Amino acid sequence: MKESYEDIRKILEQFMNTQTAGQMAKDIRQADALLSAVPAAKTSEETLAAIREKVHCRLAAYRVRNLRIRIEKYVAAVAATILIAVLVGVFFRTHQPTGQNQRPLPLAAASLWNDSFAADNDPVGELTTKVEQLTGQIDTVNQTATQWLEENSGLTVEIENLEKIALNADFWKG
Amino acid sequence: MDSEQLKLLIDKCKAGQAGAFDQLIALYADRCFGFFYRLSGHRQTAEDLLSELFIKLVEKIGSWDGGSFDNWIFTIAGNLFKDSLRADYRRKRLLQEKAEQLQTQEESEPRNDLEDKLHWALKRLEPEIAELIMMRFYADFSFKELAKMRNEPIGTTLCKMHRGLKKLREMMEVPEKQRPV
Repeated sequence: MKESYEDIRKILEQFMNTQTAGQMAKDIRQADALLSAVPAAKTSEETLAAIREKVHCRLAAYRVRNLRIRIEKYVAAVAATILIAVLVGVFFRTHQPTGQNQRPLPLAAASLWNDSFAADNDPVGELTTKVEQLTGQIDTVNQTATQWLEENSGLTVEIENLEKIALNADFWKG
Repeated sequence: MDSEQLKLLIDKCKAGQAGAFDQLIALYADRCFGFFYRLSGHRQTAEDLLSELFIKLVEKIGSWDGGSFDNWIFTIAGNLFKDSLRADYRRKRLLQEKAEQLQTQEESEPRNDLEDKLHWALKRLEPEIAELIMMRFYADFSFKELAKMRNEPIGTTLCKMHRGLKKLREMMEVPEKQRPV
């Protein structure tokens, strides 16, 4: 709100003497009167209508823009939430202590519980045959070794005698 | 319209109500047009600036945070005028012929003698001083508000205003035949 001329004079008096301030305030008042004497041209109704139309168009565009921004923000927020959730999941999977992320296996193979005897018996039969073969081979080796020891029992006695002689002779004492 | 009603109207504008903008245009169009017309001295330019001002208002109204709405709107108007001056200067340099044509059109506009004198005098003032005078006259700015807006001491604003108004009055008192072209 404009000051009164008296107020203007008072403000001016802070910077200059009373007479100059009074003259300046008077000059301002006269110039204001001069400006008031010339009324400004007014806008035409057509111009105002055109402005209103432009404003309405801009308002509609502004609303659309705001809506788009709001949707973009919403989508970005949702995407960020999903991304964070995925990252957190990945983080916990990779940072679990070893073993915890291993899935426990069943103690027995599921096929053991299979009711089909034919399927179950085949591998067991094969295994039994192999075990019998191996047992036979081991027996054969044992028999051969026993026989060889019986035949060469004299050699063992001779070696033992030589050891006794060497100990009794005290050659090792120097 | 009192300040409470105006605030209510602006709140409606902020909410994007087209009708509220229509009311705001009706309320400020004449004063703002007068401001632009006095400064530019050209009806078409003033109308363009007025249109630009209200379009800008659609985007900027949300940033009005109380205080004097008159001051706020005329500050935007002043900035728009300065921008147009710069653009006009560039345009005139690039399209000298077009500018001359516009000037011819402008001069052919019918005016009363006093108005003609005022336009002639305002055009001869420094743009900064002319804007200052118009701000005070049309926007009802106090010297204190003007000084604050221009970021200068109130004494400086007062002296500039006095110098400008005195020069304006002296120029308007010069008889038409003695006016320099």
